[in-house]
Formats: sequence, structure tokens, C-alpha cells
Amino acid sequence: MSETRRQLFKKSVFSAVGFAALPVLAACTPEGQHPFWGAGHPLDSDPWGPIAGHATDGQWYIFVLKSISVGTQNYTYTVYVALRNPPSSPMTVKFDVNDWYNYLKANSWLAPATRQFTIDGTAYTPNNGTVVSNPLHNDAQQIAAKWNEIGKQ
Amino acid sequence: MQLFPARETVFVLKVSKFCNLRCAYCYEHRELHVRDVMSAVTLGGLFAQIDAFGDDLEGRGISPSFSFVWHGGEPLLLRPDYYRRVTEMQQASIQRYPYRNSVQTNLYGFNKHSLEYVLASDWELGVSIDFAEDIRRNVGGRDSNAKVIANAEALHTGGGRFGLISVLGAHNRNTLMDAYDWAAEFAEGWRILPLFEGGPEDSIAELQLPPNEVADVFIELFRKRANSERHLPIAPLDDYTKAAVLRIADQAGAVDVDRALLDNIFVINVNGDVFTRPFAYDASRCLGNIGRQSLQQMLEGDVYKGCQQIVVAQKRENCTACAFRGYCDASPMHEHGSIVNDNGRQRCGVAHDTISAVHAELTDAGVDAATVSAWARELLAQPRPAAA
Repeated sequence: MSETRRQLFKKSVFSAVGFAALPVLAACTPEGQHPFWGAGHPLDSDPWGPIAGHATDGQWYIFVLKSISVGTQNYTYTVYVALRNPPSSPMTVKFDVNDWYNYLKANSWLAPATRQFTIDGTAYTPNNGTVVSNPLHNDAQQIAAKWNEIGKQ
Repeated sequence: MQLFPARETVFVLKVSKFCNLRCAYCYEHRELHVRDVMSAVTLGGLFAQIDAFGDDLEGRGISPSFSFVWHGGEPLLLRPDYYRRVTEMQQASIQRYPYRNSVQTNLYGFNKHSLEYVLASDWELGVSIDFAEDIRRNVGGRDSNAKVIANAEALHTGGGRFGLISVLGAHNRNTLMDAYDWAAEFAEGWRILPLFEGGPEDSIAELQLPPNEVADVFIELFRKRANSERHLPIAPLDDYTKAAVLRIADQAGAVDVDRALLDNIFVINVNGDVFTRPFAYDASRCLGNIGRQSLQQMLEGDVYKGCQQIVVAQKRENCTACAFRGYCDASPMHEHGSIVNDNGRQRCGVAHDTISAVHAELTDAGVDAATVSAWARELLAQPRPAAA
């Protein structure tokens, strides 16, 4: 088998599955299935990038990956509260949570989240300062189909 | 948890059917001369509902963020005042949830000021190019291909960013490989939409490719891209690749084919009639009119439940015994044209055949679970963006 031919597809493979899948795929073996894959880890989200959640107190909370343990379903996130809401269109920054996070950070509009807050019925209590563990789940009640004629992936 | 903006609710707004092109396969071909425009009353009716609809989605555990896709006809034939008014209405009505706007244009003939306005407003732009001649002609019969390519290059030179969409059929199945390099240089991404029913029947019969031939084109592009300097995202090829890779790695997700999921794409016609994506323009499947009913009322109605039942039945029929069940998320069953008649049998067409072909291409190249695992470990070991 040509190693060169195999290597050619590396970028195609990982641009398709996304960075979120890396820990799972790193742990996979031909014989076994990784235990937490079917538990609803959000394949479509990027654990390296910030994740935003809108809480019942009206605040936006930003989760930034702090650590990850491959094979133990152990993600920990540092949580910040956004002191400003996302700009709406036409936006000061592009509609992108990464850009928004950077924008908030650059303007010192992030504060450590230290109190309990609730998103989609789940209560999160930061401990060890501002850290929460395994906050992600996949709210698979709605199909995540794409209308991406625009080309945005 | 809101995974924003990975999941969003999309409204495809048929702002006007009027168009300066007469593409041979257009599913709007009967109305391209009609100058009716979506009214301010209809737009206001939609925007006034968004916050309440977002609350309803949140109550269902769904992340509310919204995308408005301005579609036609040729939407950029409308004057900039129309889109300025859209912006004002959105800002006045939508307070609680994030949203974005995008326009799908033929970039052939358009209102220059409207294009400038939407670009300045940070709206996204999609440009339709097929890279074939004598298929996308203007009203006078003149071909548009070369002019649109020139316009897209000028747009790019001026700093404009756009996604590319090509309708795939017999007319361009042999030209898309050469087009990849152009697309990779000028576009942000490429959607290749296999031609499906809805256009003039004689044209469709001539141009539509069977699923296995569509899969062949995607595989040729898969190889072409792998050997190219720039990696351009290609939809839906990348979704199909994801399903193939997950099967290679034996990482199945839970796909409940018996469960009715809420649709996330709604098509709103010029007159305000609302449809889900696979049933657009089917009068018997119209969910209601945005000026007369709320979206929540439509989702609770019998028509919508009937649409959901049809999709569930399609999933049971096509996904239950599929070799890629759990690796594919079954979203093709929520799209128009996914089911084909294959010698009297209804089956999942392009999605199944392309996922199978990509799976075969990768395994033939020696990409197995161990390879995927090793590559993932290698990428994980690379420096990643610093956390705050």
C-alpha cells in the first residue's frame, strides 16, 4: 500500500470529522468502540474553541477548554460570563463564536463565572474557581441539516 | 448547552421569483417573469415572531440561533432600500437571539448598490456558477458562464468573499475537475448540488445523473482535492466523508430512526406560505402562512406532523438496515431528492452511493482504524490555541 496515497487523504479525513472527534478517534481501536461516543458527545462542536451558552439569568456564558483526558470522558472548561451580549446583525464582529470570544476578551468584557447558573434546564456550579466538568451534551431534538448554498461550512 | 452557532434554524426566503436568467433546470421556471416581491407585512410577520419562536425552541431544549437566506429568483435585482428596511425590521424585532443573513445570487446582472449594501452589512454571499456553457442563459438566450466568472473574480479582487454553488448534471460532470483550482483560489467553500426534479421535465431527463455517476464525480473531486495545494471545503462531500471515516473507525453515533426530529430549515414563499425543505411548494404540505399563523402553531399542526411522519417512514425504510446507520446522521432523509427510484425500488440515492464510494476509496488507500487513530494522536500532539 502506498503510504503517499494514504497520506494524501489525511487532511480530507480530519477536515470532514472536525477537531472534536480527535480524542475519540485517537482512542479508537479496530476491536472496540470508545465508550462515550454514543453518549452524545457533540461531534459537531470544537472542544478547542470557545462555546457559548445562554442561561436563564439572561447572561451568556463562555466555556473555554481547560483540559481533556482521552478515554475517560473528562473535559473541564473554564467558564466566563459575558459582560456584553453578542452583537446582532449587522455585527461589529462576524457571527462567529470564536471571533466574538476574542472580541469580548480584547475589550475586557469577560468576567469569571463564580455563581451557579442554568442553561437548558441544567445547573452548572463552577468549582475550583471557575471550572466546570463535562458541560456538553448534544440536544438532538432537531435535525442539524445544512442549507449551505452559501458555502459556509 | 447551547453549541452556538453549530445548530441554527434557517429560513430560506423566496423574496422574489423574478430573474434575469433562464437556467435549463430551474425549479422556479414557471415564475421567473413574476415581479412580485415579499411584502413588508410578510417580513414583519416573520421577524416579529422570531424571539417568541426562539423561546419555544429553547423550551424544547433546542439552541435558538437563526439564519435568513435571501433567495429567488435573483434577490440582488431588488433595490438596496429593500434590504435596508429588512435590517431595520430585524434590529427592531429580534432582541434575544443571534442571527445572520446571506444572499444567493447569480452575479450576472444585479443592483450594484444592493450588492455593496449586503457586503458592507457583513451578509454572506453565495454565487451560482456551473462551469459549463449554454445551460445558464439570460432571457435573450445569451450564455452567462464567462461573465459570471469574471464578475466573481472582480468581486474577489475587491475583497468580497463568497461561497460557490454548482448544480451538478450531465452538462458539467466533466468540467468540475478543472474548475476545482479556480474554486480553491476564489471561493470560501463549494456546494455541489446534484440536479433533482422540479425543473422542466425534458431538461431534467437530459441533465440528471444517476446516483452512481454523481458518486463518481464526487470521488474524482475527492482525489483532485487530495492532490491539490489548497483544501477547499466541499459540501456535501465532506459530510459523506465524515460518515465513511466514522465507519472505518467504528465510531457509531446514536441515530433513532423512529424518532421525529424537528426540522431546522423552512422555505417561505413570496406570499408567506411556509414549507419544510423536502416538501417545498407542495400545496398539500404547506404548514401555513407566516402572516396569519405563528411558527409554533404550524409546528403543532397536523400538516407538520404528517410531514414528520413521512420523514420517519423514509428513515425506517432506508436507514434501519443501512450499512452506514449511526455513521451517517440520516439528515439526507430530511432533504428533497434523496430518495430515488431504482428499478422500481425506492432507495437512498446519492448519499448512500457517495458514502460507500468514499469508504471504498479510503480503505483501498489503506486508511483503516489504526491509521485514523494514529493521525488523530498526531494532530492532538500539535500545539493548540492557548486557553484564556
